[in-house]
Amino acid sequence: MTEPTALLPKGFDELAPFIAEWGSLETQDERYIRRQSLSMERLQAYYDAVQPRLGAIFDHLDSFPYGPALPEPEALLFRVVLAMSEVAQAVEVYGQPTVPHAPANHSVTIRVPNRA
Amino acid sequence: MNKELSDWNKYWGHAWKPVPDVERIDAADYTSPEVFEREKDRIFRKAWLMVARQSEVAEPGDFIKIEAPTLDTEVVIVRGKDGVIRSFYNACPHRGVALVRQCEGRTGLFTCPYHAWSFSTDGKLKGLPGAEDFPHVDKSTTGLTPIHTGVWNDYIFINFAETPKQTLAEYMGEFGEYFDDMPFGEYTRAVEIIQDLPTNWKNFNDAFNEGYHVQVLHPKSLPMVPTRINPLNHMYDPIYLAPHSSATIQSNTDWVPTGKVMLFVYASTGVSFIHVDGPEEQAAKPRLFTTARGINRIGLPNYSTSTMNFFPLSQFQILADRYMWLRYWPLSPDKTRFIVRMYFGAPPRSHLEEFAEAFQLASTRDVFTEDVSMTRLQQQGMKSGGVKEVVLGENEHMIRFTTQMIRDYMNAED
Ligand code: FES
Ligand SMILES: [Fe+2]
Repeated sequence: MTEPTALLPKGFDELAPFIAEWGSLETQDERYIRRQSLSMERLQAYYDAVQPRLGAIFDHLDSFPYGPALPEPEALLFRVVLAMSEVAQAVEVYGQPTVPHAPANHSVTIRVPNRA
Repeated sequence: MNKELSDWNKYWGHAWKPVPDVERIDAADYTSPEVFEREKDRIFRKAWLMVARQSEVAEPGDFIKIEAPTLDTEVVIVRGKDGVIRSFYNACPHRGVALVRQCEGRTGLFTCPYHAWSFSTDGKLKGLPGAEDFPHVDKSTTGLTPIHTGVWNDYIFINFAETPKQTLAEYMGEFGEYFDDMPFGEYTRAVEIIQDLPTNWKNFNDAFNEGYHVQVLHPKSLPMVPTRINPLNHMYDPIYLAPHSSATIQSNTDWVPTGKVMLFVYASTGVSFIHVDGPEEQAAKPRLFTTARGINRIGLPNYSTSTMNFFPLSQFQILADRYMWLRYWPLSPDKTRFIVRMYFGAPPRSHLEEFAEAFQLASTRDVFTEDVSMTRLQQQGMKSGGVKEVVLGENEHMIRFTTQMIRDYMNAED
């Protein structure tokens, strides 16, 4: 693994411990599967670190134009913070990583159709 | 309050019928291969099926290839040069090749990859290489085999019958008139979930047509629905305009979100489960569904959602500022392709909006996961032979109604 703190934008170094778990995931389904695989302690640790920073994170990210050209440190920060869309369901809604009654390692592909 | 209530009373006068007398359903109706074959013939080859949106073939020459997996059929839907939307079996009249290979595109001519017979967007045979060897083929009467096609509001319907018993306008009837001002087409951002699931298609219709389970199955994910005065979440204002139906669902205004991320999403994007009319609504945004005359006709102050069932395989769940289109295509007695399309007013325009959308998608998927899990377990129980029939309460009247529609189709004279 590369030295992770170097990759996040300045001021967001304290999120480096979550890069290994979330920083390379690209899709909602990958994040959903990762959420199910982590312990509640790990999810809570992420939540406690990221939730108070949400405003600052999006202020920073949205100081860049929205689109694919985000510089790599910001793109990494965005991937890390998108994990919150899943982690919040575990922490705020269910109090457990999985959806009750769901099959183990549940996977659901979410896509944007070309035509709609 | 409601617009033109008196006008709509003409429908209201007979739209609400007493609870249909369907107290029990044979478990075999959900598991039997014979019943399934009959459903294919009597329902899915006879009824109009809602399959696409007009915007998917917006311009002349635009086409999409869709699956009607219940009937093992691919369908090409294309807007002709004349602007008319037509549908065809994806099958070449020469030697049968499923000639259209792209899922969507724009063209003036469909050319078969085998021997290059080609067809214009109205299905007519245009090119026949080596025509001298086909003196017995009349070019003017040869072409792609059409499927009856109609448009209601922004939606495209097809009908596999050789001669449908009703036009689409007749099929939609008063239900179609009642909801004809719904602004579906203004919602342009779609996100889709497709799953093949081991359960009968009717379990999906049933899952999304009663509120009875909400408090039990979704206590953590949908605390914003059941209220103190309606804890069993009886659906309001059921409308039965055969074979379609609709109902209205409340929201729990006592519920106060406490999740900090949920509050962040709500506060920073204005997205919320409970719609609040406000002056900030701009012309650029799509028209709210709550402005349509068929939505919340009864003026429920804590309105949240309308359901609309388009017999036999589609349902809309309409919120004020977005909607979901559900389809349940039967694949076998115990397999169903479940497609959910969520339509939003616009694609995300910032990182924050993309995050908010991801948050909503995750929570919506989780709620559906709870529903889907029960449909799976239902199938398991029904297949076990341990129950010969299932029983429906009066609060499950929407299921009773659609079950009656299914029975009517299954038993109809030809
Ligand atoms: S099968 Fe299509 S041209 Fe021969
Ligand atoms: Fe449900």
